[in-house]
Amino acid sequence: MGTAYLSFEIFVVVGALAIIAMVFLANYRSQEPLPQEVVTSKGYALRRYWFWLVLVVSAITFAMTIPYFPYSAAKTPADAKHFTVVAQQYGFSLPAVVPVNVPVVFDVTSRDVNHGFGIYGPSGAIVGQVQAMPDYTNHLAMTFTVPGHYTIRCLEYCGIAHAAMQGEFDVR
Amino acid sequence: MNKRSVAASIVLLATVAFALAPIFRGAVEIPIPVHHVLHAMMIAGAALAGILFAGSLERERRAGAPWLIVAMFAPVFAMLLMWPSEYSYFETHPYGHVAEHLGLMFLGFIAGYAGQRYANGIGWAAGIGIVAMAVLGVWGYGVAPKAMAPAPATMPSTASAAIAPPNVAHGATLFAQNCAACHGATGAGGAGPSLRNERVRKGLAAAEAWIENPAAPMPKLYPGTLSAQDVADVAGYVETLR
Amino acid sequence: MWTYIGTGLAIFTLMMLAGILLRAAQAGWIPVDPGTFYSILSLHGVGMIVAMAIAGLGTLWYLVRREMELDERIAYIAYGFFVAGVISVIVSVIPGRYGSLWTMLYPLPFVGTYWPAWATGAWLIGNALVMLGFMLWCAQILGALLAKYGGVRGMLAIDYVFANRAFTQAGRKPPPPAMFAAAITAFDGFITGTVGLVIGTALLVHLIDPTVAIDPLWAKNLTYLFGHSIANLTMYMAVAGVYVGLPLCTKRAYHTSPQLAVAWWATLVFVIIAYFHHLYMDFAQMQWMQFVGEIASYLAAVPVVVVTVYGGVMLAHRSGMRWSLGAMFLYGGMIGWVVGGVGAVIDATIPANVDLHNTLWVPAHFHTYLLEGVLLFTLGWAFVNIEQRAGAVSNLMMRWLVGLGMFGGGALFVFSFYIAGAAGVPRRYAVEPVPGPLWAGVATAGAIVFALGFALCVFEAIRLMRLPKGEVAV
Repeated sequence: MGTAYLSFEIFVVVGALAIIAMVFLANYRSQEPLPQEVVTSKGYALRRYWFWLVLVVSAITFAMTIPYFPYSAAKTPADAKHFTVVAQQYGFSLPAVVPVNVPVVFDVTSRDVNHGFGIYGPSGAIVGQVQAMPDYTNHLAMTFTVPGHYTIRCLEYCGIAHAAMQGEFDVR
Repeated sequence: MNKRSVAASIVLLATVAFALAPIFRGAVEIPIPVHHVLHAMMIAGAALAGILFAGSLERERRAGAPWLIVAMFAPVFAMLLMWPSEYSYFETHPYGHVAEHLGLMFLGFIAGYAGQRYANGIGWAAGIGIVAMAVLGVWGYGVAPKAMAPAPATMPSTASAAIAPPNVAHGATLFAQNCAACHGATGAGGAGPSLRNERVRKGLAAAEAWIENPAAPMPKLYPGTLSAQDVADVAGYVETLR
Repeated sequence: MWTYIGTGLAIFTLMMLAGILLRAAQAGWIPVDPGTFYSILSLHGVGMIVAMAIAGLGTLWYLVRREMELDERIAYIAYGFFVAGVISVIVSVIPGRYGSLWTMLYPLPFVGTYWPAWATGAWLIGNALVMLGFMLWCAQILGALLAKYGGVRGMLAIDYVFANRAFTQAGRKPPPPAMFAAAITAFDGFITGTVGLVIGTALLVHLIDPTVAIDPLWAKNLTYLFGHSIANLTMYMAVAGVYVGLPLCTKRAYHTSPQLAVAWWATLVFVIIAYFHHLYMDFAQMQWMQFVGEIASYLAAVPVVVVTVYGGVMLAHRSGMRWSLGAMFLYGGMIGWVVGGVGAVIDATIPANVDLHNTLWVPAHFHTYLLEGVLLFTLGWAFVNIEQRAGAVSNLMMRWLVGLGMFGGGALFVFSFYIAGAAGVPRRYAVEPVPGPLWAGVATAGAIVFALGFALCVFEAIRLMRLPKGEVAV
């Protein structure tokens, strides 16, 4: 999905603002102290707005994220191509080639323990992932728009060779 | 006999009657999740009786630590008593079944009683806790969905008698798919040991035997992922590694 | 209290050294084979959480004891359970070589193991003993709070909020702020411990009798409900030290208000149900659980930023507070909590989670919470007590050095997790793909600086504790 760098930027900006704000507020004119009542009367009045701001921003953000949930996407067009993916200690059974610009669904399961089916694109960023569980099949719906070589890494600790567990396929 | 102890006695007797059911029902098969629910009901009745009994007593001094430890351990023993793989045995041995029910009731009772003797409200906490543990078991304790048995691309056919001589090229492909993660792309090793010159340590037959029955942490891929022919092929490939 | 805090910090120190070793191994500076790596990682994870929990439980016990009678014997018996559990866990890792990590997901640790079965048993039993000690503690505190304030209604100040005028006119007083932290810890802790005992007993039964089936999705839900809750509760335990310590440093008062009570009610509920956010990538879950997970994760942040942190900033603002180590840590911990919270809320957003789940972003946010939040609250509380008793604070240079070490080094340490996670480097990899090892090196350097700051701070604590009791109030 390519949201990782956006996440990182938001984190850095909001985090930096928070640090600066909290340090500033604690040190602001610290040589001229005020009695507590003066600070709290203004503070409590402001807090009401702060509360509503936080609540409204949370609600709006939540609503905005709903269209991007990967779950209902599993109810994709009936003509989507299905590929079975079976994870096991310590490899994946995968298709060798996945078509580009076509809706596909990966039916992912595991033969033994929990694994993670993590798809890394040609640029090295994660483009999608889903858990590979024993006794359950998870359906990951995607449409690949960038052709190239894709790497699969296991994204759920599964044993001693978890870090070596890899696979690959081409998109074209 | 005050109102609380009367109520407690009624609840307790009703629960005991319920617990005696196996004697009258005889050998009957009940699915494990339903069994958990029935057990939870028995434990709930006993815990409630325990709470009511504790409330009905005249208490001069607050009870100490031992009550609390008893109340906290009871749920663990209750889960041990609900050992799912033994259910089929008890279904054909009604008196043992009832003994087990009474054991569960005893644990439920002391969870409620000991908790409430310790402090007001803790009996409810311990009682609800032990019932919750029994109920939680409904979805996963002794219960698992039927394995999906998906068909992977390399699904092996069922065992055949004759095995052709090893196809080393095919073995190389299998090695890359299944073994390289741990043994390295060229067999030089990694998480798993190096397989270079493995033929000196294990001949073909020994290599095949090892692949079919490895020691942990090497995964056992036969007969799930690899057929007998696959084992021969990949063993043949390994024997060529220098 | 000092037994608990001291034990917690001692375990923390050992786990910190183990953590530095792990990061150095990932940087490629120290060769560690994967089996040993995962064993140490298992110990590090559970050890840190238990260390912070023990310290937090000690703080809370002391604060509750100031308001009502508590039987010390139970505190010591619970402590005995903790120590027995910790020893059992350590034995399972060294020499047992248990390596399934602390939030192990069934069918781990039964498949593909490279350690003997007894090590799994020792691990499970050790964790169960810690849980039983925790349940004892929760039951004791809960019982005392219920008795003192009059049932659940009084403990949660329900009348105070909904019938405020009648309540105050009758001359009644709500519980002080720290007692809310105790109530929520004990109440949610009881739930956490119960769930932990279910999954722990089920796994133990499966160990003894492998024919007992367990549903992997059920096990996953219970494991994460337990793990998520106990880790979050360490933060809410430590906050009690802020509620009492920061007013002392700022020489201002902090009272219960209806907003504070409601904020803690929200925490009581949302902290538990937010656990669904660990299963976003499990499409086999029922969909409503994913929705609840995201909204509960967002809402859990509201009481923190609107009441506790806001209140802390108001206490510090233009108070003329002296920035002793105690004050620095208490306030700095709130900053760490907020920063970690930003990282957490981002990860709790499902579209972002698609790219961040099980990457290093996950340890990034919880190391921020734990190292620059919970730990700092605990140290801050300890230092406030030490400084008050000694009537003295550390000199300026020492405060600068410790601050630079622990905030600067700490920031470098967690930052490298965030950036590597955003780059897609997976977590729990003994050998990381590029650019993992580079950032692991940066993290190791940051951690070493942090450890040096921490060592100075320990040295300073000992020095202050050895001063004779001072008369000058700080």
